[in-house]
Amino acid sequence: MLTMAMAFQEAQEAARSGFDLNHLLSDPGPLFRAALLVFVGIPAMWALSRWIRGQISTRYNPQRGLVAGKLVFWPLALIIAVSVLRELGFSLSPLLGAAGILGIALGFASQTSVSNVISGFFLLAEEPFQVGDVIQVGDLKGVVLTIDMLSVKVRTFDNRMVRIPNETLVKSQFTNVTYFPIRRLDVPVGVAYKEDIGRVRQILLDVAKSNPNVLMEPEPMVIFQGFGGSSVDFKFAVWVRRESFLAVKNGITEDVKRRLDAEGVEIPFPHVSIYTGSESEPFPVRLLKEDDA
Amino acid sequence: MNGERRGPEDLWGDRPVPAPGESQRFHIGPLTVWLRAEDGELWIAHSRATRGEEPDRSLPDDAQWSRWALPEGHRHLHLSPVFPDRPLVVKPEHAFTLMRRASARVYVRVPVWVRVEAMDRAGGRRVLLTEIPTVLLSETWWGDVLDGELAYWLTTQGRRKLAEELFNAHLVISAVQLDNLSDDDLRVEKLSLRVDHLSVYEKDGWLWAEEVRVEYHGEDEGTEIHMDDNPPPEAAGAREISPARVQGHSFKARTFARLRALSGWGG
Repeated sequence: MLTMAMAFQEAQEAARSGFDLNHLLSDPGPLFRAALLVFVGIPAMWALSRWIRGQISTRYNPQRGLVAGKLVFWPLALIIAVSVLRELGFSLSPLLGAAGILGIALGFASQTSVSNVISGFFLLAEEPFQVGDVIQVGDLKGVVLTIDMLSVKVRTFDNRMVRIPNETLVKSQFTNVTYFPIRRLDVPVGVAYKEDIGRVRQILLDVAKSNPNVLMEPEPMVIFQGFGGSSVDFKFAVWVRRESFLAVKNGITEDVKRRLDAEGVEIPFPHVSIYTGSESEPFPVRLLKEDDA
Repeated sequence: MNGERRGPEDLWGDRPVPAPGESQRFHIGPLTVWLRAEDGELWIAHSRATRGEEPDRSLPDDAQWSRWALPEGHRHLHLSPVFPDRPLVVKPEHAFTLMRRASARVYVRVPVWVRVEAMDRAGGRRVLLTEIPTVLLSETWWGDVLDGELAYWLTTQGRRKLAEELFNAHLVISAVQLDNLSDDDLRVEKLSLRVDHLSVYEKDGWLWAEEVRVEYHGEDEGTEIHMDDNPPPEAAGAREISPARVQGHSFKARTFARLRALSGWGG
């Protein structure tokens, strides 16, 4: 704390040493140039940064566009800030010296932030996801909005914005749901024990074939899962484009149900049989009067 | 043979936008399209018969109309047949082996999409309104699960000879010349047809594409694809009615699928 206060005081004194208000008022040239830098330079910097972001985004991807835009924006912002200060007569050498001391102090005080910044660079370099990808971190699932210096902003599907520190993403496991262009959709299907397994398999494959959004290759598959408590269980696995995943997920479940119903294939649900000692005897029922109860 | 049967020659080309309150209907294969003018807008609806079903040409009660507010003075439409917007993975019903140094000519029939464009005058600059597939093809993936491309799936008989029953108003006939120039036999189970590089030609009402020559040089050397600038000899004199979506007549591309391992299963 003491170090920070000293650095701040030193910076104040150093800055004051080259600044002369009377000189500025008598010769408005530097003031005019500083104003020009602020009112023309900053909009131009914004425009250039946005243009480069747009160009790179179009040519490559939005992720690279974002990075390129920032790589242009921040150095230009620094140059403009330094130039304005120089025009106003501030001496920068003592300022930079003070900034060194301040930097060390701030470094200790902001380890988490620095860690997030460095993690952000790792995320940008590694590219495990891009802006627009759908990621899942723990229970959270959403679309990546931005990859910033300190955090990644994610929009959940119920339209909430969640901020995830970069360090968290580097340290923990997450899933990029839309990394690959095609995805496998698994639909669990159970049929009654009396059904012909081969026929069920054929019906399911036919359902896949008749849905134009299900990819013909990789081929749909019906995988036997086991003999369940009430049903013979299958995994009906089809491949779809990532864009049509949700539509197929909804549609194919309906198709399976409709088709199995039409073919007279029973989809069982858990049955509970209660016996009273003998399977053949009817369940005994005794009526009680209110007084007896 | 082509002279014996003629296709629907009057379908493609320019036609006026229907007069206000009037409607037009045209059909091609299993597809029926309705055009209607309402309050200065063009309304378009379509219905499509499923495979093996007799097309019902009456307007469905639940027809989904798409509405188009046309630019000022655009009173003409242009209808043209175009190829689907992605490559096709063509699977012969029965795979065959092309012996080393052997050639084969196969006729593949591809269902067209109907492109509807608006113009300010007959023959004027066209503005794309919509493209309607005559047949909905299933999607497929060409390549492995990490590296590949989206395509449409087409099963073909892979006819080696032209026959009258091959001709249908909504199908473009594409002659594919396969040349196995390698020293290995080539098992043709599927092939990728880059239809976005193909134009559509018309002769006697039937639709044709340029001849596609596929030269297989071996597993490592790859495949070269060449497309002529002209219709195939079988349709000499045909006129081009739709240019290719993508220009370029010679390129290398993954064309044949042999026994490919598709990883990613399990569990």
